Amino acid sequence: MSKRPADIVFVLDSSISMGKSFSDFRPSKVKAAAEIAARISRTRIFGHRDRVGVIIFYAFVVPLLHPTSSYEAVVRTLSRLGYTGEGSALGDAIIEAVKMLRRTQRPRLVVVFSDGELNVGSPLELAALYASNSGVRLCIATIGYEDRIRLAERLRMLQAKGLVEWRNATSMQKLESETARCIGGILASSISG
Amino acid sequence: MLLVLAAELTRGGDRSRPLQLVRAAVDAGVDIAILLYGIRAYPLLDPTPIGDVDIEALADQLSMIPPIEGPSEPYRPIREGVNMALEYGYEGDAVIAVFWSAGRQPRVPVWLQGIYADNAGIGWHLVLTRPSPPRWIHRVVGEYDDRLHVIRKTTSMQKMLARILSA
Repeated sequence: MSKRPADIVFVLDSSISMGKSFSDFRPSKVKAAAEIAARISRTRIFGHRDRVGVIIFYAFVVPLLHPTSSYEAVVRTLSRLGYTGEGSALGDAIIEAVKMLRRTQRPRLVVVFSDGELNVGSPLELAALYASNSGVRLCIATIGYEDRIRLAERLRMLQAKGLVEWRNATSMQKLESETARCIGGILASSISG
Repeated sequence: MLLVLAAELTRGGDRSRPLQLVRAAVDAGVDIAILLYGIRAYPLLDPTPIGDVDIEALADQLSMIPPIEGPSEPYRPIREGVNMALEYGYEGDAVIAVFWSAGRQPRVPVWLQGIYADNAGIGWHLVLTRPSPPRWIHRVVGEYDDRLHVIRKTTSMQKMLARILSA
């Protein structure tokens, strides 16, 4: 199996609920998610020659960094993140991430960190289908108790259809390991497939 | 040539008509892109050779997506369609067909955003999914009556496609 470098876009939910702490996600869920994204980026950039991009979203979607092999740029970007405002446009954020990956020929992956809210913008189903039609794989990592994740039912349905890989965790260590495994599994199948 | 089809994502929108046009376009050898829209427009399918499009899978996909709250603004898919066509290198070689129920008067007239398309050499058409245009339609299309199409019971999608592609 050849190791083909990939382009990965981390999509971080920076809505008000992500500004709160949960379990060991401190000082806030978004800060903790950014920390995890930075650690995973280090492994992917130095270990696999991948490129990493960053997008944040609340009611609006804000692209912050196009995929780059500069770990310093990724860390500099992620370290500045905090919660930004009301609303959660998860579908719009995924679509923006897929658009960001339009021009690359590498295997492409979008990784979302969220607490599983969606209350404005495009439906999650549309975003997942657009990603699939564009050949972009999607890993959604949610933070919280699974029975309280509002999008859980829709995520389960999309996972059953093979459109999304969904991981949920209530601790930072679990979220990091599950997300890293999700990325590794998807990219291994992209390379061999 | 790229044919961009836009269907309404809002309640009351008709998603089956654009698919009929995709089926009619199979022999035309065009590339196809699909947008869905409400207040904003979203891509579902980026430009793809029509021979690579699984139309039945596309129909399944369209049925999977829940509707969103309105209103529908048909100028938005024109903007999104132009940007998509330019990004993929179809300048001067694309046409956008927006399917619209015309339930209420939009805030932005379509002819105004149509200037953006005209300047990029990209055609635009408005396909009404109601049998007769509303009285205020001239405010929406301005002088561009030839860009307005109405789907009636007797309408042939093949002929409509030919008019859209040849305009």
